[in-house]
Amino acid sequence: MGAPPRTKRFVRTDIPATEKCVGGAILLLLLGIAGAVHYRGVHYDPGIFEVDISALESTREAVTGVAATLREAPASATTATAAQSAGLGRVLPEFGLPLKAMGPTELYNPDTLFEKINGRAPAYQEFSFQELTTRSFSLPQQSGQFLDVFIFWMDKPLSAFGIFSLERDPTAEVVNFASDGYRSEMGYFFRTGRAYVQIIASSPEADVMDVAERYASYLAERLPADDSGMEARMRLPSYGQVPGSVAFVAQNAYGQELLKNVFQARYQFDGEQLNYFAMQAADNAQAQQVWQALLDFNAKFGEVQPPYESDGATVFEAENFGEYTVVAQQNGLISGIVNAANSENAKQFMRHAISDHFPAGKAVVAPIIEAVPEDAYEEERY
Amino acid sequence: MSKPEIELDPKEMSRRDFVQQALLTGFVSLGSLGAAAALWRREHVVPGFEDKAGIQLPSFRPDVAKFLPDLSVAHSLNRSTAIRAAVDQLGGMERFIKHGDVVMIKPNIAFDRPPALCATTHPDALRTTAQLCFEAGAKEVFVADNPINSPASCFLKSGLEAVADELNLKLLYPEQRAFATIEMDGEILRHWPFFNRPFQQANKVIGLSPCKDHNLCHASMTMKNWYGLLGGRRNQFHQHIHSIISDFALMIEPTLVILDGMDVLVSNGPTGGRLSDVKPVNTVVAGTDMVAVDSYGFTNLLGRDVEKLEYLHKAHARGLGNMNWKDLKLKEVEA
Amino acid sequence: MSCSEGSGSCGCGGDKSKPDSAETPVDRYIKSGSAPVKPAPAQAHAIQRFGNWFKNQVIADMRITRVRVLSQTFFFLLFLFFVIVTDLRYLKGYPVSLFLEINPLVGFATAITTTTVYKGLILCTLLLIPTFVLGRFFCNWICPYGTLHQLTGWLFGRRDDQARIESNRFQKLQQLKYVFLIMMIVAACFGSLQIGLLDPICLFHRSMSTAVLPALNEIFPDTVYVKQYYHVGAWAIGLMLLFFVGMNVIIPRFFCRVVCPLGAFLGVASRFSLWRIERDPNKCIDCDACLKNCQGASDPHTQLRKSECFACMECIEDCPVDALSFKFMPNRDHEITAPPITGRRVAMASLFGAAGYAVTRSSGASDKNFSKKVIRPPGSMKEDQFLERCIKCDQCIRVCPTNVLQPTLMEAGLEGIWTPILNMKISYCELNCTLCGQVCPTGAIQRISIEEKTGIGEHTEQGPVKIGTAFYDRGRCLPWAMETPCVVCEEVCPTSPKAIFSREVTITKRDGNPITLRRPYVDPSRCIGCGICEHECPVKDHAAIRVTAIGETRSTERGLLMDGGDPTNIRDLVKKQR
Repeated sequence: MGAPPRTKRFVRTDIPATEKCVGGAILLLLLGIAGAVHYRGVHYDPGIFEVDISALESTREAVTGVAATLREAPASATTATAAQSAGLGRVLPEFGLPLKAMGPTELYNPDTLFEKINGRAPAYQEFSFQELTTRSFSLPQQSGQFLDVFIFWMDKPLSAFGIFSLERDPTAEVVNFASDGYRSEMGYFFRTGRAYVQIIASSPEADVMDVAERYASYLAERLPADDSGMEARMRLPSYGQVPGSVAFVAQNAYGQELLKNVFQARYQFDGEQLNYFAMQAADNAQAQQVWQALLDFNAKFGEVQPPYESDGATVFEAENFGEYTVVAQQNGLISGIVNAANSENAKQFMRHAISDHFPAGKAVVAPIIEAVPEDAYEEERY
Repeated sequence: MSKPEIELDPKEMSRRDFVQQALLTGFVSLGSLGAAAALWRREHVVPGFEDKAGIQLPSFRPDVAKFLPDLSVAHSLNRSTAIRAAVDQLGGMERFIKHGDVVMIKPNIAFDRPPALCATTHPDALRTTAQLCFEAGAKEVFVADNPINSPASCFLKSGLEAVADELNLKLLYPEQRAFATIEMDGEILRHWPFFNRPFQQANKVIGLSPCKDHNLCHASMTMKNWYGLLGGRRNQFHQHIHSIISDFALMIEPTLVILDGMDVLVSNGPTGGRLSDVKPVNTVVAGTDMVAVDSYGFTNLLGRDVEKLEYLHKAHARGLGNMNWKDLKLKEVEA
Repeated sequence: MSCSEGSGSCGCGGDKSKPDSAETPVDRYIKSGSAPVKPAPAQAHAIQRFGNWFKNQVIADMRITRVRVLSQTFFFLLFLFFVIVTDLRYLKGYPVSLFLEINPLVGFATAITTTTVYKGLILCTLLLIPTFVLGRFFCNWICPYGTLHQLTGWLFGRRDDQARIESNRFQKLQQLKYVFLIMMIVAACFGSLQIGLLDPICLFHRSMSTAVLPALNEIFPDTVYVKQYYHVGAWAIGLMLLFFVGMNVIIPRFFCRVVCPLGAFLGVASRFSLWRIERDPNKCIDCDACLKNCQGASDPHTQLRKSECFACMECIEDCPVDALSFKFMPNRDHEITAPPITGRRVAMASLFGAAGYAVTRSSGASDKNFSKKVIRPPGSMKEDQFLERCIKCDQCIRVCPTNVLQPTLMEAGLEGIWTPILNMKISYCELNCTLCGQVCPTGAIQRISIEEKTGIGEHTEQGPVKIGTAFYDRGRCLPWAMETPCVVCEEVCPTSPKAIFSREVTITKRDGNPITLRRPYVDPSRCIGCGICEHECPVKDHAAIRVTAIGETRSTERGLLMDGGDPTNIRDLVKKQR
């Protein structure tokens, strides 16, 4: 008995139908898997594969011996905290007053000012804010009371004046230790040189405000006086000046292109309120030019009296729509009264101003308390 | 060799064995499927930054009360009386605080100013609000803020620390670990460090803010108050101040907001600095909709045109509140 | 009277006492020649001929073993396709980790170590549940490594029938794979994932990535890679592959029967199966022909060992008397359900697994004594969690476009062998690339996005993912030590702003002339450890700037800066609070 022939490969000849069906189903399943794999393959998020082959090549190339440019690291917020009383030497002292420092002197620059006054900072940035030195002091003799001292250093005295006048309290008393300064119910605010100082007291009580005043006056003494660019301000007469009415207009005062860096103030004179302005020109020639331009403007729209000389000043008087304007040019200073109701008062005031001789005694004028207008926050108090 | 005898054994499995086998296999299959589904993690993490995964705040709003007003205004010469009256008109603090609640009061003490200058929430306002919470049965009251200036200095100089000591309120400081990242779908705010510690325990939130002029966004009232919950480099937001204030209405749904308009900072805000910047208005506004309260405050406390308040319009347009306060059930009272 | 030849080789069917009236299967066996073919009609058209061919050769002959061969081939080719396509240029959206994701051992073991099932690993249920129902069919229908073994055995194995039959009998050696499985599972319970060492898909993929494909590219340049890839320690992996493949000559399906832990796992799972190969003892003539091609050595000729049977269906084909079938719920008496391992061996294996874990962990290589060379890919979990997840499949190494990822040997300890680390001498980590995380099936490298990796957009606050920090070796750096200008490192640093900055200094050279040099420094708060600087440094043997595994963001223990990587705003808050 020999082995059966081994030529055939398969033993089974009849394959059951179920087997064929299962086999067929499995093959279809494989086709489905292939299809699914293909589908997954072509639908993909190209964002995941951002690698650029050519970029790989370029970084593979060695770069030899080329000096790289030094890249500055951007200023970070840590500068403020690092600056706090560290190594910059500007420490606010107690001045021997009954004060105790509550912390170190804090220093802030334009990038970090936000971290102290947050949303108020843009107002200061607009006046070219440079640095803030600030410190808080507690009053050991009055428990729970404290003083916050802020010294805002702006780029020039004019800028300091600008922010000072923006925040000015219209009801406040003028102080005597600074050319621009006032006492508010809970603090002292003044400008010396290019510094705008705020001393905020925790209460209006007399003993707290007393310490605040002394601190303010000591500071005012020690801060570098500098009134450059403020010459016109210094030459505003004080007689009859309404407190808190000094304002500064950088350009286009009264709509005049040539009137730049103009100081304005309001005066009570002979029962009437007068609007006075002063502008310091670079030299006589320019002053004359500006004066002449104003004359020509007024001549165009109104009536101008023939100009005359007085006390070394050239003066013209004009009338426009029932209002009187008197403008003088004296030693490079252009000054005048604008839109006065009474021409006599205007002329008289100007005569006093030009001769620098006002009636004896400063006319003390009570501050005019105005209602806060609707758009107070939008008004540019330049 | 002979083959062992093979019994003609039954071809089929016994029914019992069949069922047993089927059940066992079925059980094992379903069990492994269930276990896999339960343990399934579909999202990845960035290792080392896991604790920075975003949180989302629940809503703290009270249930809608059909017959009670949603906005109340109280006029009085006394701050405590005004606040009490305003809350009473809404249905009393019991409408908002239930027995055993842990309440988080969010004042605005962004700056370390004395209270008279109206740059911060007044200590009397905090006292009255906290007392109301305790009277309604609150178990604990937190006071928390992430101020602009130093937190310790702000709590102290604003006078809130003294009130907290007096009433045994818990002050929460913005320490390093008190922050978690919030995850939300805001215009500007999407993924930002958030002062989360108070919310881990509190189940009610009351916003208590002064009414202030603001240099950048025109007013700082109940909506701007929530700025004090953000961490990170907040300064960047000043370029998009209106968008982010409207995002706050999305970020948090407080139980109650109180706008303290007894004294209003009308100029040189948000810092102020002079009493001349402060105007007495002797009004307190309270409500559940911060958009409506701000709208009322801007119109009637600051006396300004609400058309100019961009963030209100944004929040209203996004459906985060109703700026038309006149549409709400309003109750006004003199006390 | 029965035939004296019990083995049935006489073909008489044994019992001659049965009447001859019905044609028994045996008769058919004797009588039939080749497979029945219906006579093709003369002059048939091509379509008709195709139709006939289809009907006769395909449908009529749709035997299950043919289907299985097709299935094996399909999955083998699919596996090779995935391996080839795991390349930056071709990857697109292909699910290249599919085999690893459906691998139940990977899913199960990582579920033990991490108590989670990561993303695509849920697909392991797709294979596990059919195994519960159908048995260990994966081993012969899908597993590409099994196909490789079967192919090798078929090509180079024994030809002689009797030899083949003998080689396919069950051997006690086959219990070794259960020992391996238990050791690995026990180690996994303690938190060390070692299944990747012997898991067939992981092993095969690792061998392809690190040994086979580079070898192919050496022989046929530029076919596989743009630039030749090198892998550290590839020789060991290649040898391991060759060894297992070669062993098929001695014991067919050596790996599958003796070593494979996945096979063991599926073997354990198949005890619940509702279908299995069933031998009808009434028909069986004890010829052992079923063993001729039996792949699993599961003894279909007696009591089938369910845990060893690969469902290859060859025995059904080989049986001369049609005694075997793949039956639903057959009699339990005819099978051996449990795997061939005794309780004592299980206990021993558990002890070895626990001891092995403890011994390797105590070297401290994953803890305090971590090597500075273990720079893990960006998006990696911290080290102990990494070792709980990495199955050493080396897919990340395969997909890495710069060839910087390398399999370790002992750098990460013995338990970390063949896990991926970066070798900056070979290459660097490309900044805008997260491919390694995209292909990692277990989440040892998380699937982070490019924004999360580079710390942009929403993730600016948390910052970029850092894998290490670069340090200058000033004794080797040209401007520092050799009066030679060079700031290549600063030029190639990809972060913005750069983590390398330089300061100008003017010195007098040896010859008396002054020279202005820029001397470089590293800013550790910005350095992400990508290694381009080290790679491009002209001091090629031992670079003057080297990246080491400190300053990683993935774990606080290996952070460098005291702030622990907290954003500066939070630091400011703490400082302000006085």
